[in-house]
Amino acid sequence: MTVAAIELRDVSRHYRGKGSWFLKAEPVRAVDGVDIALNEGETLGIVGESGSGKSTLGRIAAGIEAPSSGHVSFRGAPYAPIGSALWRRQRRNVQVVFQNPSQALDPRLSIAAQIRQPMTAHGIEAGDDTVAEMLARVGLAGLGNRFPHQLSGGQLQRAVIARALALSPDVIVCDEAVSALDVSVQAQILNLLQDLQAEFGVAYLFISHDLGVVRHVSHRIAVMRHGRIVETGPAAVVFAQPQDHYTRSLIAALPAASPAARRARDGRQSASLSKVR
Amino acid sequence: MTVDVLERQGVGSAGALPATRTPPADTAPAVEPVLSIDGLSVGTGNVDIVIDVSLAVAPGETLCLVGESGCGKSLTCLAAMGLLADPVRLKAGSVSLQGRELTGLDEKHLRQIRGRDMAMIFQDPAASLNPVQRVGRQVAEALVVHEGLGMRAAMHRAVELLDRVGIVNATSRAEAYPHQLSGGMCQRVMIAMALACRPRLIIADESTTALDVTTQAQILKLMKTLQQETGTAMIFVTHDLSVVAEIADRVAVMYSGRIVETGLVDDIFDHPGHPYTRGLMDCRLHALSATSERLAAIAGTVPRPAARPSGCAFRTRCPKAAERCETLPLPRGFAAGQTVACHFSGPAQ
Repeated sequence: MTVAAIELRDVSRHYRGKGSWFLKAEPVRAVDGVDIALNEGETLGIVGESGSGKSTLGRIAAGIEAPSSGHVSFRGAPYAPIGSALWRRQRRNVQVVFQNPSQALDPRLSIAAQIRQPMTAHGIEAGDDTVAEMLARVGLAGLGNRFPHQLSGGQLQRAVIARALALSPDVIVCDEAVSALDVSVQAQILNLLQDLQAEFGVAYLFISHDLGVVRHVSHRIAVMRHGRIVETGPAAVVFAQPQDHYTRSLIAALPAASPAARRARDGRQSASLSKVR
Repeated sequence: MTVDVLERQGVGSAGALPATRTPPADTAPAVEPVLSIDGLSVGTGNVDIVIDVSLAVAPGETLCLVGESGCGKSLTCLAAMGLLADPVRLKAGSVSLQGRELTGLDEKHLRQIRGRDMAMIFQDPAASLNPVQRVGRQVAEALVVHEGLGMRAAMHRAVELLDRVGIVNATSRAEAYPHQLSGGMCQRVMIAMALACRPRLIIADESTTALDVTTQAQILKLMKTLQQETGTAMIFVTHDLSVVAEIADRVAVMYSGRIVETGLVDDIFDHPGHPYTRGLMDCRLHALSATSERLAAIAGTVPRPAARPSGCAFRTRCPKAAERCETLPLPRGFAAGQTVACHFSGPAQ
């Protein structure tokens, strides 16, 4: 068996909850006993509603946050303590792309400088050619001298992706990476992510609340609820034959793909209702 | 009981409104429209952001306004509500609600109309609700202001309204502050506020965008049910085409400040006429009809109003663009009730 890029075994993350003077604080179980593995070069989608713990899971997988209990390993080796020299070397291979690119970029630095920064931090020689190549790869050729406020939301997200790619990581954790973008731009970014995966073999832990997006990009999907994973499986199977009732309720709540599909569904619902009566 | 509550509260004019939805067969509704916007232009200085927009919405009808961010959807709604703030101002056009011209009305008169005859629901309920006032009181406020009720009677009705929008334990929840309620609950409160005075028109600007899918499904269903009961006209702004499929009777697609296509929702989905509408349809992702193929993205982004290309604003991103696109295409009939502003749109087969 091959070693997974990232593996989480029985991982939990509890935060101290809010109590009051007569009530003991119950811990918030943001992540509660999760087992998942992200294989090399694959996309694992994590879906769930807000508060399901998917972002915390992403932070733990990226090594930015330590779990309260359980084991996280990167290519078979456990993450070193946060802040240590070894941890820094490990972190080089796992990058993160967050939802809001304008918050993820420094407003006072040019795009090129921000792409160079992680390379300099890891002691890698970063010539102008390397940076220009990264920019071209994400479709921002010639825009390196621009500042964040001069670019659109889609372009900014491309810059963030270029910065994440600069260290040629094995894994990129995408936390709602396309959720803030318009559909047309979202499609551009999803295509770019898929191209980069084909070219560099990077694996994605793709976290999103948007089931359509997750289905499109993911090989496998894990459905999260209340900090636990309620269902995992190949993307097509999870949607075609959902096993868990929560997954089924998520799918049932999806808006219709077209007015005709809506009428078909409403017809089925009223038919089954009248049967009950 | 639901209808009763609204019936008892109301001025008794419910009979004048059709109880069921009556989607008109043509873009110009046969019934007198609740709201009609004609030749609306909005902008700052010498830059026009919304240009020559005309819309009408009939009683009981839901019109969806669709387009990417920066296309002028929200500004069109704000202009309709008379909520434009400096430096953005109305440059031309008229907005009339039930035959009454709203442009040029002073703030005092507008304030009497807003909340009573037309109400707006925004995207982020947390930002729209007053964080230091109990939600019941916020719902009651509209009733005190517009219907001259005393606070006690208004609170009583506020609780009924909260119950009506599906808030369990409405009596105790009315005492809650917004931060004690979830996002979906807050949005229900916003809907209760909008419904309080039984307006003829509700404008919902991305009202379900920030919600989880299960909550969104509940809210959309709620809005549809309430609309069927009250015959309110609704303008629903969204960039999500599956929400459009759920809720719209008619659709208007906006691009860079102009309406580029209008039509009945089925026609828009079955045979979109404008390349932009087609592009939006193609890059949609739906969990139940996924393909492993590469997505058809629309290249580029919406131009800023100051840098809008001459002629058809979409030509810089359009796969069909040709020389004649440098002149502005006028909206023309495409299929029955469907209008498209594109040089290449012939009548549908």
